[in-house]
Amino acid sequence: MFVRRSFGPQLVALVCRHCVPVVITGGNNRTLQTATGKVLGAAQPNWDSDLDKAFREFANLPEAERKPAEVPLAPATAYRLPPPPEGLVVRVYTRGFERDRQNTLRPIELQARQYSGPQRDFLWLTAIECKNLFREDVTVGSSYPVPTAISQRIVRNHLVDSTICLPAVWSPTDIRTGTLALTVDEYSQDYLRYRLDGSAKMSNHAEYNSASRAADFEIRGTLRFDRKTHRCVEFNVVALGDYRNTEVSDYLKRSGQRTALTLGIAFELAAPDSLGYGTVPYALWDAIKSSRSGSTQVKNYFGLNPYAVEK
Amino acid sequence: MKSPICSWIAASMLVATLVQAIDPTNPPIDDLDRMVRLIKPTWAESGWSSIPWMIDLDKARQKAAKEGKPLYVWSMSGEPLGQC
Repeated sequence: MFVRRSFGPQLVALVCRHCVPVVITGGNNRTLQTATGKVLGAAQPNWDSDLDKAFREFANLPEAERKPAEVPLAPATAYRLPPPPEGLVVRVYTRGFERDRQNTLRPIELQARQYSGPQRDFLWLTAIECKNLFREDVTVGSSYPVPTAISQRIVRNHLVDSTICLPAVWSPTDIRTGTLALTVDEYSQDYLRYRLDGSAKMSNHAEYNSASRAADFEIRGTLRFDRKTHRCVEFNVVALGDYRNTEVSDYLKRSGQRTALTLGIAFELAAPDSLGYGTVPYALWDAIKSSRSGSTQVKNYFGLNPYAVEK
Repeated sequence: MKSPICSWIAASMLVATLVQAIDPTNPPIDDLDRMVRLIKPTWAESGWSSIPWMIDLDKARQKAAKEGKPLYVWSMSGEPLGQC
């Protein structure tokens, strides 16, 4: 995550103008490669000095290597599980805050500076889940709970401290109390507008105050559903809560990890052409590496396999 | 007639309320737009995300071959554009 801060204006301009930029999972590296996958320059480059060398190497290659007629398929490790068909992709931002004596929220500066802003993740919903979430058999003012599979997915995977490192997610038994409900605010021929309200309290011990890891969140949001296209067109949700984890390692403490902080988490709809669309949610990582769409993790995440082809 | 002290206290409370209400660093959770602005990346934090990163290596290789450009490959043990 700290690598993000190293993309200064010059490097950004260089990459945009002269390269095809691509991200892959696995390893912690940045390399210049030919279209066929040949690594140019150093495999572990010191970018201040080695990037120019790699560009020179590329420029000196014969045209058949710079512009090959055919390229080999990417290795299986570069495979990415696609978002569920006809489902919903929601972008998630997580930022750590501290409160001053007046209870005013301030972003934790070290995290903002060192890690280039909030952590990112994605939330995926299947087509069936969307149908159950955006109910049309409702009237203005009526309320109903968010389906359990969705509320659990949000709470377990996203109301966590990922501010500087990969987070520990909550197990189902860690969720002590929680409600998440939609209230219909507006019902027209074209749109349905819902208000989302909720709270969630998690702890890894039955006694909240005795838990080494615990969190207490409020959740608010606005969702809008287009009745003509049957698509969600707005997913604007915020969770704000106090979080503590007293078992943070010394290494992470040195890296700026807090044992207690306030977390602000924002969810917004991700358009199919937006940056990173298709990036796999953290909770589905193992599915990338293992048996792809049929993995146990996919079933655990969705409660079913949305990629299964009906026979 | 109100005493000057009462007026001053009332005025101070009003000012305090207004300051609280417009303090961009302390939005209530119900003020969604302000909360979202506070959480989402600032312009200064978004340099790397102004690069049009692709996530499909196959498509990126084809594009690089077609355009005669090198690939700039950013790999992480996490997802560079997601959790990492």
